[in-house]
Amino acid sequence: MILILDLNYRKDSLYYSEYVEPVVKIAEQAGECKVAYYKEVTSEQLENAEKVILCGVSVKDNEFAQNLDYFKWLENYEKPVFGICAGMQVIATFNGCERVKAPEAGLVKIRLKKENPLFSNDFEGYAIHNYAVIPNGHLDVLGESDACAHILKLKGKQHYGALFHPEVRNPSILLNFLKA
Amino acid sequence: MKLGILFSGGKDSTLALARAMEKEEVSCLITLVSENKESYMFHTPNIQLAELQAEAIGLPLIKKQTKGEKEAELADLEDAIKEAVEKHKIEGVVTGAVQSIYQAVRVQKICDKLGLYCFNPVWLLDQKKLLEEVLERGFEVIVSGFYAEPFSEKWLGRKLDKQAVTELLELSEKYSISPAGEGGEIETTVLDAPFFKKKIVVASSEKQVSASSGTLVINNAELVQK
Repeated sequence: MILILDLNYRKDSLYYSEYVEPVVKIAEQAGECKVAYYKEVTSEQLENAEKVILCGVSVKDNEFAQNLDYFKWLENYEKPVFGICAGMQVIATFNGCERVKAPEAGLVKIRLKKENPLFSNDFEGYAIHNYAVIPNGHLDVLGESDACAHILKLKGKQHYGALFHPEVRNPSILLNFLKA
Repeated sequence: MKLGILFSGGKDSTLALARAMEKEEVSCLITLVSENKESYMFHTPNIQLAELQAEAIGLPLIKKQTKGEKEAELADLEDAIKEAVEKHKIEGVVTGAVQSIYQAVRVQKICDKLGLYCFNPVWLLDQKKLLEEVLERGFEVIVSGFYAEPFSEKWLGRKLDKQAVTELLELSEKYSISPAGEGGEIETTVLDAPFFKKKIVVASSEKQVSASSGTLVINNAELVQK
């Protein structure tokens, strides 16, 4: 089961169809999916999941960043996790990275920095964010734009983060994560 | 949360409106009437019908003229949104963007600048599912423009019923076009929906057709009781 977490400011918000459903649509190509709201995810759901995706949120929504306690489960979680945009920021800040203002909007060119199982060439991804992270020694930078690191991987775990939104133009990146 | 809907009168923005009404409070519609028929942002036939549609829905309308000059038209959009904030205290804007990064990014940037939420409730919705939802929700939609093959004059004024949707899906398979017109192949006008308080009846219209495109110009329309 692929567990998909809704990180929006409110459960079942108007953002659900924009930031969660497109991810579910892609993930269903790889297996059975279950969606949970991040503040309500249970240990049982995390245990039963084979992989977890943390969805992105809107530019204006910073609620998740003020509720990082709800992501404490990441600390001892060994299963693969993929964070999109806000989800990437969660994984990075949870591992000590600083969150900084680095707005990008639209298609950005992302250059391959380190070989990895998710993508193998430079590509264009859809970015819509005001914040990025400064990666520290706990994370490998797999891809970056002119402005910031775009794809990170936590060393020692299959925890990935993409600042851009792969569900928009690069579903293969999500599918490569899910099918690996 | 009070929201303003960027409203073109077509099926996508009307579907976005319907979805928004289920989750938040919709305070107004916002429409830009472009003098430039080639505008990337605002290019809907019969946009002048928006006032009648707003009356049918029972929502106030902020309507602004724009010359439709690329990028400059965004200043007009920003002014319209600011007026919606001032008059109707909106905290967010809703668009009917489905796949257009061009449109979505520009509205997102304006909303970010003005400190507003930006919702795109039909973003990346599968086009077949979009058409099916329009049917399921009972919208009365007509095709009001065609701008690419294999569409022709016979589609102008046609209701998007089950048969029409079936044909659109067949055409999309055969010709690799977007069945819901996301590539600009067709434009639509919504005449009625369950949440409309009155319905629109077209009293007179004319077809303006050239070799590869055509528009159903609605000259006269009226509201009738449901």
